[in-house]
Amino acid sequence: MNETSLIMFICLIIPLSMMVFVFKGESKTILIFLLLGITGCLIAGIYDEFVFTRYNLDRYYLTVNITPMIEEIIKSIPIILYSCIKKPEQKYLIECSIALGIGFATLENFCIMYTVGENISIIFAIIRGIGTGLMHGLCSLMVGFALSYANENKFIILPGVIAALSTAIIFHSIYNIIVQSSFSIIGIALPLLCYVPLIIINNKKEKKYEENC
Amino acid sequence: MHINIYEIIAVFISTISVIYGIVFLSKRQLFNRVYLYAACCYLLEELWVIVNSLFGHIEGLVTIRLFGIFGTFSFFLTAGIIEINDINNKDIVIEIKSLILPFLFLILYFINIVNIYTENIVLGLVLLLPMILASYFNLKSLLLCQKYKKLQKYKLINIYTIVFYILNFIYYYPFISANTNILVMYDVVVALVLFIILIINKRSVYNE
Repeated sequence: MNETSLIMFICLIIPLSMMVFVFKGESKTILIFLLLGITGCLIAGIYDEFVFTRYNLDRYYLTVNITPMIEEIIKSIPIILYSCIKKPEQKYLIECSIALGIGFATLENFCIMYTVGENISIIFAIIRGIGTGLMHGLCSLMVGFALSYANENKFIILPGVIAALSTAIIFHSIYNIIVQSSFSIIGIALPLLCYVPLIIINNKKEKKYEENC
Repeated sequence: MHINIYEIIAVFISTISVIYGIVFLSKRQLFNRVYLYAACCYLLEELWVIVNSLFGHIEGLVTIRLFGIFGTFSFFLTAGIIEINDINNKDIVIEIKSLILPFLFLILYFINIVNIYTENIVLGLVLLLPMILASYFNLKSLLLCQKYKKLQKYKLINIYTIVFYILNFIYYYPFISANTNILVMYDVVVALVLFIILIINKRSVYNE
């Protein structure tokens, strides 16, 4: 994470922060989570770079083995704290966790696009946007989903969150392996394949719930 | 691209065992949804192994596999806590079920840990401690099976699990510093035995 990344972070965070003073209620909280996601990406990037230089690791080893762990843990901290302190509704918690993941993916995409430099193309940007955005969104969603259930029973918060976090880390690592291989298109399709059925099931559940009401 | 064929076979067999176990339990209505999440976490870890074999090249200590273990155990723990919470209103079978299933999966996992930590004997030994604890729970479960008539059907699975732990201890020591291929072959055998245990258990339950 170099100075350019910090500049990108500032460019993103300052205009978005202006909206915090205008938005109210749920929209404000979701926006705050989006900003926290962006900030989390900066912190994770700094920590990744520190581990890379401190332990003199191979870049591939780092992205497959260490980065998913660092990123998922840092990303989950705000939503865990929020859930423990405020105990919001299930649906609301899930929305906040997705916002967190998408915020994270936004800054990450900016930084990667800058690194690719002149070789960048519109197709690459679209594919990368869909793949990374959905992957980070899904990983945060797993933690948010676990938290929303764990709130009902305080004894299962710790094992539930560890379980969901571990699942998210494995998913992230699988994505990183495939994306760096020559079959990167499969890697991009992986979050999409998980996301679409999830949305369909969720919509059906909501319809059923509304009908029952 | 490097492919360890033994690893792929082990993953394949253990994956089938897990799916089979889940389907079997759901048919017998001995099912809690969190077990399904545990199975998903397990299968995701197995997918990681396959993806790494096909596209990646990470060897040695792999933290991601450890997260697979933590994740699955945590899901089981969650399922156990939920069931213990409900125990006052339901049959004692629930208590037994919450003991048996986690430890079936435990066998698979500790074999995988041996794979991961072949070069670290101290850590390997530390990781054996939960296995001893698991044996204790299985013994306790076996005693409960003896006590209650309706739990007789679970006796066999507990006996097999305990025998299996003993076998595991015997095999563990000579293999701890051996080459990875032998360990992976052992993994295949373990996965096969688990599969057989599930089939025997199914027969014993249906014969009741």
